[in-house]
Amino acid sequence: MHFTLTEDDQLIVASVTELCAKSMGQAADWDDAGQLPGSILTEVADLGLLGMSTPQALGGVELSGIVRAAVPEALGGGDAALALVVAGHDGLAAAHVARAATPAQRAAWLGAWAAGEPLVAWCEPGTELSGQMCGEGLRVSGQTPVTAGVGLAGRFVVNVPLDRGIASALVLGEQAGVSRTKVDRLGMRAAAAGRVVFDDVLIPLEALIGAPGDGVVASLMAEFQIALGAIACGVGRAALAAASVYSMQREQFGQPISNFQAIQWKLANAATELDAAALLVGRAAWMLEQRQPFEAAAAQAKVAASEAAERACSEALQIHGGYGYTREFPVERHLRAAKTLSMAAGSNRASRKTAAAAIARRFGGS
Amino acid sequence: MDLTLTDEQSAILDMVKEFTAREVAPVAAQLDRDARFPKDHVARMAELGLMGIEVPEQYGGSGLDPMSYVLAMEEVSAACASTGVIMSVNNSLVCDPLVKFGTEAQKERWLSPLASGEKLGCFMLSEPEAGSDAAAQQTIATADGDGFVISGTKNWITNGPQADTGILFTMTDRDAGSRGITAFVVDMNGKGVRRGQKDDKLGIRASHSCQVFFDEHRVSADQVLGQVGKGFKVAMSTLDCGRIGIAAQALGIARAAFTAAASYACDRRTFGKAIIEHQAIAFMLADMEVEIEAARMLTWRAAILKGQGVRHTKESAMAKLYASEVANRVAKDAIQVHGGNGYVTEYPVERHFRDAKITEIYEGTSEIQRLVIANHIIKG
Repeated sequence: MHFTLTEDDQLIVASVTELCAKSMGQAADWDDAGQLPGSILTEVADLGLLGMSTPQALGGVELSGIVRAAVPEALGGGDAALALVVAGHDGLAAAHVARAATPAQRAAWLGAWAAGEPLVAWCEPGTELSGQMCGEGLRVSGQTPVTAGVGLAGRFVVNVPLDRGIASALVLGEQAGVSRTKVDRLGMRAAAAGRVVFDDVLIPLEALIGAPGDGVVASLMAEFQIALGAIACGVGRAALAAASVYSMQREQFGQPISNFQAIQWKLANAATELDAAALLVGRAAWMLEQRQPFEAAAAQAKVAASEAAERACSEALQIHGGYGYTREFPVERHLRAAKTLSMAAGSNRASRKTAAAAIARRFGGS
Repeated sequence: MDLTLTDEQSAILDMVKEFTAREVAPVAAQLDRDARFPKDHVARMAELGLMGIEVPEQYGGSGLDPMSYVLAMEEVSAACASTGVIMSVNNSLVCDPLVKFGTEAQKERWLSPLASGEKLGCFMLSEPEAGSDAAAQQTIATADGDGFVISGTKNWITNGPQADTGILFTMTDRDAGSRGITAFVVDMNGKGVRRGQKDDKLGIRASHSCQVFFDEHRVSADQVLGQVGKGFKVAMSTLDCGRIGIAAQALGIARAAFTAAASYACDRRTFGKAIIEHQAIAFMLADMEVEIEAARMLTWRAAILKGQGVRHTKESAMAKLYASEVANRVAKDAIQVHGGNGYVTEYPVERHFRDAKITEIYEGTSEIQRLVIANHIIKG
């Protein structure tokens, strides 16, 4: 038993941390603009982060599940919006294709995706989308749920609920009848969230991924809980780091405020809860890697991490006092990001339902 | 990240599960009600090698790693938290400092009988006026001939009424503050050692504690544990490890309360369905499990670091702080899930609630843990 990454994995994480330090000083501006710049997406692609789930033979870097849960935390510490977009592209879209698509589809798509050409947004199944299979393909009308990266992506993986399960397909942004709407959100604004809208669009057979009811969508979404938890740990730790530094610099009553127990308690609580949450994220990733049932553990990690991050960010803002409430300091952005994470993927209500259902099964309820 | 238990760790876990299920759990409520010291359990734990889990075999211990210790602690404490703390004190607070700071002669004389469970140990740091401020020791050890003469009072000494051997902290130089503290290993049946009435406590009632009075108790120089004036280091280093044991104890209590609540919620019906089907209950149980798993990870991490010989002061404090507060929240919510049934002694959760409270107090209150953690953050 150990709680550390392998040396190779540590190098990967260190390179991500270095990228954050070097290139993400403008994260607040991206947040203001509601858009990630193309240059940062190129930089993450150059590090291989858009191809973590893609087999090496197809142009990816194919990392273990353990380090794939560590990267979002490191990235989330730099810019949570970027981390979310990367997780959607790599952990959902590319992973979906790698797992369920035909060899021809994989060969055609994944290499370019690993280079970020184009960026792909993966849309959860929602109730406002309807589809029908026909001889030529899948006919779709309606709109997807609000999805991170829609404003940045050139391709979408959409998941359309049908009677016999969920049909998944790759949709080109430029296809006739496909449009996108922008949704202005509280947090992670640079992720350019939005909806993909379909006006009676025929998606051709060769764009369909897997078969309806193959269960891949559900397992991808369960795995995504781990990534969301990891990002939350990164956000929370960034806020904690900012608050620690600030508390040692800020003087009141003739001394640094870090001397006061009222401040120390907030730091200690946040550090403890974030360590606990990060360990739950690692545990879920390890269980997934071991092919153990991991869904409840992933949901637990997401709940713990996003709520620990919300509390840590809120207290970090409080430690900053009035300055924390301004955009001059990063903690208000972190707080908005943390809130976004506890709302993401059906909100923590859905995650708690997953966790509770596992308890009911184990203790003999229904 | 790898959470696989070794074969040895799994074997210990299975053995302790069998022991606790068969012998400890069935009588835990009665022991609590009678506030009766579980002499038979202690004897059985000695046979099973649980009284000196990490002590090298050459000194009568089991020679196992800290992970084996926390696995065993969680199991024993889930069955009976009182039995858990008796075991924890002997392992972490008595055997551990003897292994770490004892001379060869001290190990042979004092450690071997403690590790084999032939004798029982206690740890005497707290005083009436020195709790969290452990450096404010009033017990005095005065150099006299080739030894010391000790006088003073120790408080809340777990295992005090039964102990044969004690680790004792004293002031040898009053002007030197924490640098004037010296640790000794003492014979609890020696001349000038007297035990007070056992404390009447809220919880862990089957574990006994008492005041211990030293009235010109004479010890020889070879009873100094570590060096003269270095006792505070012995105490802090010992508590760094002890806190892992208390974290595991809290984890055991939390797990027992959660298990009781989850089972009850599947059986108990209101408004035409099992109460676990009401979201208010289901989500409460989900939150309990999230926190228990998180507490377990923090506890295991601290144990692994200890096993690797890496400094783990912050990680132990985090594990102890978090697990103890989780135990209290979970036990409180477990009563809530049980409703009126949770408030009566027919169900186990009120005992878990009472037992949980101590874990936020002994071996460093939650406030001391937060100070330790905050100091690590601020001072890097």
